[in-house]
Amino acid sequence: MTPILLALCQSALAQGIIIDVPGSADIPMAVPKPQLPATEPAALAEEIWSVVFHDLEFSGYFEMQNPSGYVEKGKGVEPGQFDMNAWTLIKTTVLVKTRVYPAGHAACDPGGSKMCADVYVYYVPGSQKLASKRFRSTAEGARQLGHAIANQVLLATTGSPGVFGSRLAAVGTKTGNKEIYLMDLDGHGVTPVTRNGAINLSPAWSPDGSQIAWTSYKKANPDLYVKDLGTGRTRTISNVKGVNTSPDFSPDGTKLALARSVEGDSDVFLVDARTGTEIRRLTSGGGIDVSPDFVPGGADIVFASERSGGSQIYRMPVGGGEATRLTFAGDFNVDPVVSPDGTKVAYVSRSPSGFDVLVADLETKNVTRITQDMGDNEDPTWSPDSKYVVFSSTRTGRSELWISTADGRHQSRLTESGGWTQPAWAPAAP
Amino acid sequence: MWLVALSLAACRHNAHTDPSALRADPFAAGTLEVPGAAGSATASLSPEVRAALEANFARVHFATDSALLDPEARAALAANAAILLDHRDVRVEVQGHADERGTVDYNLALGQRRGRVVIDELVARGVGPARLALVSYGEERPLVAGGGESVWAENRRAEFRLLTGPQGVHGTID
Repeated sequence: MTPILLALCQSALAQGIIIDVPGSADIPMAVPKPQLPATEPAALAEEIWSVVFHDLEFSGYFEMQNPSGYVEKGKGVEPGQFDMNAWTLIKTTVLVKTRVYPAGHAACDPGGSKMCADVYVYYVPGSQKLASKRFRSTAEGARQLGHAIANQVLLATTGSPGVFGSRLAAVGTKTGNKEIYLMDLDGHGVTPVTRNGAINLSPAWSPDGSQIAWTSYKKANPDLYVKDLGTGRTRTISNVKGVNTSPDFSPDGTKLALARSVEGDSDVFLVDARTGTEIRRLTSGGGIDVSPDFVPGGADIVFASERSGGSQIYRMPVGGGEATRLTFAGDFNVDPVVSPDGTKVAYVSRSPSGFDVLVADLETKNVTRITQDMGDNEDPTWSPDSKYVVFSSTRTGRSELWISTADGRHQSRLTESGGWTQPAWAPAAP
Repeated sequence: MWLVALSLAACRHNAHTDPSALRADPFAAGTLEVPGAAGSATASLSPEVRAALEANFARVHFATDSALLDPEARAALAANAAILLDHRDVRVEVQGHADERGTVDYNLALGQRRGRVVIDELVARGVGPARLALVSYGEERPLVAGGGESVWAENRRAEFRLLTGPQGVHGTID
């Protein structure tokens, strides 16, 4: 690290922040294996460490130093229990030390069923402890503990918590037909939302994370439903004969924007999210209008429309008013999704080599290409902190879910099997 | 009898027709071809005959991101309309399909548009709109697996299915 960048880091540290944009992956980080009581088998600590290490690598902020290059021999985690010079020597900038106590351990939950993990985050050049925290969970919660530690490290180093441990809804094909599933961001913990044997598409979360809207052919027509994940109950929202699809909840959760075809091509409608009662028809004519997405605040939507010829991205007020064209480059732009902070829109654009995910800054109009010459890349969805985009990509020869920093510089694969499409990132916990 | 034979002759896309289906004449009772009359219902046909009849309907193919009917598509639809005009008790579902390129939701809308264009053409040729249902499958039901232009061209299509069940019954049989 150059002295200038170091100085920058140190001044930023005054606000507890080393870095603020993921993607550079250039902050050297060391994450030694957890300290564990001597009599305990290492498997639990290994699992937690593995989650922490991969989450932090995945975050796009850090250059993960190879553990084989660590020179420290001691295992203390607290300040004064180890020699910081051992990390200065290998030019570590951020050091993450952890300590794990198995379920019921005397130092954590004597005689109980909880296990503990302590994390200490150090800024090595300043020999400074940035944060320390203890996490508790049941014995089954090892992976979630790891995610919580990684999020704490990101809070200490970037000023905002990480997104690890958050959930995605997505369309999967492991039963042979398309069903909706939930999964952890790292592809673990896959659980079904639908199991109806029909085609199920286009999941969207309610803002409180309690419901999922989606399109299903379970009654032989692509109709739109909402399922309450708590009660398991499903209600029908839109079932006109024709297409009922691409739902998006309003930020207050009371309305759904969707596309449906009544006579001719599909148009965008606003309906009551509880009853499906039509509130307003937002578009009419002008070719296919599809994939509405609320802009944060709820006053506007973005959507894809063919009103000018090939599909382009537009923005319009939901209270009525003119649509404004947002995209001009390319002859086929679809599936816009606005970042939760309202500053950017991700969308899908046709290119000579396939389909790519692009991100446009709504203020500057600058467009960042997330993918290029990597097969078909579709279905972008934003992280709750607006720093990452998850999307589907066929670059491995099968459709899988990938995560990218919003600048496209750092990308990782989430899934370890094919047939995954249409991810929808769960909203941040209230 | 001649009805089935005629419709088979009118169609070049009947590779899977089982000859035995021709002998199992669904129209032997002679109750057909009275416009508006409740003749023998589609649902009463044997599966083999149904499959044979269904196979008579030609697929229609489309160019990329297009729902325009080219001369070949119009000819196929003329033949399909002739079958429907001959068999007035038959209801069909027109299924609109897209290739895998583009997003799922856009392709659902595109499949709907293709199916709509096909139905409009059939109606223009005299088929009653009540006999024509439409469902879009978007890119969800490819005819041919894989990628590449020849595969995509096969998958950009509209297909015909005979309707069964209460919706498909045009009158009742005592």
